[in-house]
Amino acid sequence: MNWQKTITRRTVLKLLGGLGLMSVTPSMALGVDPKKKKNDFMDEFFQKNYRIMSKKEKQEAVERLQRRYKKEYGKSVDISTKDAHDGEKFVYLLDISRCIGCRKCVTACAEENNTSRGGETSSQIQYIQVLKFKKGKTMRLEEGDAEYEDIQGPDPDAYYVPIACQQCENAPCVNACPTKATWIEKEGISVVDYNWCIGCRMCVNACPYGARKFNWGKPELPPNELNVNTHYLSNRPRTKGVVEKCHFCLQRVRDGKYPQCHKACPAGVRKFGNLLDPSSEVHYIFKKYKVFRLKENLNTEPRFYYYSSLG
Amino acid sequence: MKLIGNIIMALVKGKPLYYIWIASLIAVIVWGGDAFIHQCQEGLILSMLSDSFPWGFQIANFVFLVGVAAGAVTLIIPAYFFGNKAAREWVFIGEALAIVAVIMALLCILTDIGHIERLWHLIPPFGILNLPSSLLSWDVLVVNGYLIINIFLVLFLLWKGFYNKARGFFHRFVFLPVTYISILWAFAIHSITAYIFSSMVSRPYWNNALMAPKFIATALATDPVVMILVLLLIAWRFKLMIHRELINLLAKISFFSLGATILMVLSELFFEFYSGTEHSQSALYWWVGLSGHSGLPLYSWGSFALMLIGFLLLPLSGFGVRKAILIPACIIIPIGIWIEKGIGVIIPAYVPNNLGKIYDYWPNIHELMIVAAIWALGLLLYTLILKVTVPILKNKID
Repeated sequence: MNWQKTITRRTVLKLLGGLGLMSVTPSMALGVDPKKKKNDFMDEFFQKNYRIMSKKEKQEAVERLQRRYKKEYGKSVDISTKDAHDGEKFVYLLDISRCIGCRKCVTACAEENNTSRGGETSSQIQYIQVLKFKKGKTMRLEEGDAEYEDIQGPDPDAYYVPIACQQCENAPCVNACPTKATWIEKEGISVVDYNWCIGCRMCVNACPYGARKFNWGKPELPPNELNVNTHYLSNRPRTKGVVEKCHFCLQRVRDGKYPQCHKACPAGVRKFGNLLDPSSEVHYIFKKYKVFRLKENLNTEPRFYYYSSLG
Repeated sequence: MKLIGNIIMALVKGKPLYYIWIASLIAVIVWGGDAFIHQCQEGLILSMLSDSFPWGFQIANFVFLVGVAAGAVTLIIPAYFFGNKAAREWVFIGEALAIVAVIMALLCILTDIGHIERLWHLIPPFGILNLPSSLLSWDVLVVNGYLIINIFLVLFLLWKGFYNKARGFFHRFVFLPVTYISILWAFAIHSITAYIFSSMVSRPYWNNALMAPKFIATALATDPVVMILVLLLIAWRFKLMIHRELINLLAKISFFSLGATILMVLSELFFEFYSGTEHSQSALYWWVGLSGHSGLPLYSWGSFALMLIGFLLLPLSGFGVRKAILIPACIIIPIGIWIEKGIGVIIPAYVPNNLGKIYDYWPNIHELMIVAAIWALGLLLYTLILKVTVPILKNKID
């Protein structure tokens, strides 16, 4: 038999090369986009923590999410992965003497941030809670009424204290997370990777301000109410079983805009700015008024301050 | 091979009562398993948990069960530290109890998290553990480590008992060191479980140095009496003699630990009621009710009464001589501790919530079903382990 002679090194290489090509070509030959052949579900399952993703991996994760959101909401969602700007550290200041308790910030926040509206399958999520205190009562949180009825105009016998995430510098929630699914970004805003959170609720327990909210069921967000301008770490639509919270509207702040609650406030009691910029409004307020923070004794070092401009 | 054959025979052969017991446990597991599948689809919205009560009944049971796991040292310490022969003969029932309790505790967590499929995020190198700052990360490490240690110890005892091995190299240089490590480890798992809670500055009720010592004292009070019940059950089913000395020792360990627990509860009562600061509100809610919300004092005083009565019954039974007094004591002590350590640790911490609001929580049928299934699974596992190990190790015990 001379077949042994015909198998030379070259034919073996050809054969191997051919096999290699065959494994690549079928999808091309059939006109199937190789990207589509990927299993989005499994790829999303195996994706890494956002903080250790490469640029390319982030892009792939964003595209996967966009395909999923398209299916779920029928809309193209823009998901930014913009990093923090250098030279920015944000602080928030709120003038409790002029807050009228209208809760416009609460609804504007919910609309901007795609939080669950609540209903059959899930509870409602709101990042901001406004407490109403009777004048003459001190700001002991127990004295505040969180479920007061809406009235026309402010109640002259009351003052109001809106509370959301205090963006602590020494954040107990971030320390408590067992998987590093939540962390503080460079400009001082703490965020959650909704794809890395396992839903253990350690952070919900650890937060002294009740700022962290859990998606107990599948979030209810009507497609026509979906805000399509999102950031990966902030207001992109969430799934059930993950924690979320106020992030100073990261998606807006990184585009040089104010947080939505700041924009929505009709009384102008909300002040937001860069602590590292000496000419900012927040610096002016720090110089002019006495400021205070909630639960200072816990050493959480909030970046959210309260003050009173009218005595 | 002969060992595996014997194990299968021991599992299959049994009296009708054994089959009924196994069948009813499986029924409860299927019932609760169905609830869990439902939960995987719908989310934890099926429970009574909320942002004001992020943890509830499952975590309450987790705390108790980690205690049961840690309390296994009440047999190991006398057996290997003080060379108590009677304790050494039965040490495997303690270690088996530890295995079962750890598995149950882990199940309590697994059925309580939002994304069970993302569990690999906790397993390095694929996942990330937030060490050293997250106490839950530490707990994942120590609880799983404890499970592995105890599985090893039981398998070793089984192997040694079955092949009738004499104490040799492995016993001295592998088994004994691991046993000593397991003792320290037991204290570690329960302390770290306590630190999960006491590390939280957000909840004054938990942010309390007494948390870990009280957890350990209650664990050391629970396990001896549970093991007395198990020993009496084994003596009855397998017609074996149990040393009176061992029962006596266990009853005394429970008595002293219970005394320490009661002392700590009284200190807490004094501390909270005398100071009466804002931080005492959770304790007030637990013991007397707060602003008309007074569903829990029934349980706080009930649990305290059970512990106190158990504490008195143990000496009255002559520390094990009078079985008619001993057995009720052994039943009410774990129940009292289960209430105190379960709902008594978890629920009051959330009242008032972080913004000072008072809401009530009580588990619903969904949560009860899941916890019932976990208990049934634990009882099933323990029954099967004893069914296998007792006859194999019986040669020695006889």
